[in-house]
Amino acid sequence: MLNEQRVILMSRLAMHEKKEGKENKSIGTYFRSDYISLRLIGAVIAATLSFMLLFGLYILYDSEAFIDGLYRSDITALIWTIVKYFVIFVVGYSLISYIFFAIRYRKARNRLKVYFNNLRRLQILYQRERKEKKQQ
Amino acid sequence: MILALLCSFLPMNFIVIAAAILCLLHVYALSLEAAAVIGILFAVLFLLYFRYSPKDTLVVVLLPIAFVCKIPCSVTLAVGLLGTPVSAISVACGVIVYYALHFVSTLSKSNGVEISEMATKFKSVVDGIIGNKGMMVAVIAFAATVLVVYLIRRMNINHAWTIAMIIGALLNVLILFVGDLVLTTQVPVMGTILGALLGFVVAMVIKFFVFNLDYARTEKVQFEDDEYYYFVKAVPKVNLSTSDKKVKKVKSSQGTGEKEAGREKVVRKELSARR
Repeated sequence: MLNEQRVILMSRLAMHEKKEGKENKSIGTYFRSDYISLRLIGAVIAATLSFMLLFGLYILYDSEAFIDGLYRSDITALIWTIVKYFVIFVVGYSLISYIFFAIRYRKARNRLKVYFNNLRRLQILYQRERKEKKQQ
Repeated sequence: MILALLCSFLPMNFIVIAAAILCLLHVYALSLEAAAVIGILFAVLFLLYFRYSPKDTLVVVLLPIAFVCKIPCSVTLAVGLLGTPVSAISVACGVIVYYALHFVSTLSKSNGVEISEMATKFKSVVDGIIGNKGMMVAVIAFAATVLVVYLIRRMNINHAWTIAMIIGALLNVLILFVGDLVLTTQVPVMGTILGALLGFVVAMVIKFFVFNLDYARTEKVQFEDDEYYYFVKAVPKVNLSTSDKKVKKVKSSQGTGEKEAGREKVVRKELSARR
């Protein structure tokens, strides 16, 4: 006989595994701090690369003015200005990334909790069925 | 042709990557400088945003196509109805990509001699993309539309989805026209209105499939246990908003009809207060 409750539970579990199960499981293997710090490293690298690309575009955009500026102004001051913009850019982006990944981690943990709860309920259903069969 | 065939069965994000590479190759055929600028734009978008929301990448492909078909409003309304507030960033990225590619294509159409002169200068290409007032207005208009549609369709009111679509389409047209008046962006009046109307119709079709029947969230899953193989097709129930609940009169007599109506009002008020 088909057990309707069991089919519902198994469908929910299968849907979770099919949709976001893999991602949630991979997130669930990390501690919160480990997960966020790993992602933040990625964010810093991405921000650095983006800054370099944008800075390169700026140099190409106005190369003459940039070279003139190199000759005329103090190079240390120019480097400090670039570093200042870089730090603002990277810190700002990392802060947004931190919030994003903290929320993502919390959501994934909650979904995993529901998933394991359903697994437990399924196990209980199976145990009950086995008992009933033995009694018969 | 081969690329289209590959896109049909490879993951969704492959379409985006393939489209980006194809665009870059076409732009490269025009000029190296323009290709470099567009390449940097794509790389920055990918590094800063699409690494985090790979599901939204399709918007960047769909929006330029919708712009070419003169119905960008349809994609915007659909994103507002089905997406999250963060999707507004994806829409903004899509608008930027369209205007950047449109600028390069107008360069190619305008004058052959001028292209080679202009394209050799990064400055003119970057100025053409960043200094485009029309793009700025469009970015604001479409991002605001997504946010407004999202906020209204989440509200606890009757016909929230339809109201969201109407207000979203109107807001989109309004911002584009105000932008045209203030910055003279040369927005085609009839084209924009017709585009918004067509967008509304497309959004209504999406609403029919997603809201009434919710086929979009249908899941087909397979699993097995000791006794059976299961092939399950799960169609989610439509979530009715609480305002759709109605208080039914169980008993009513002719003499006490008005009193009953009064009580009904009180019950409704209490229910709405509890919500």
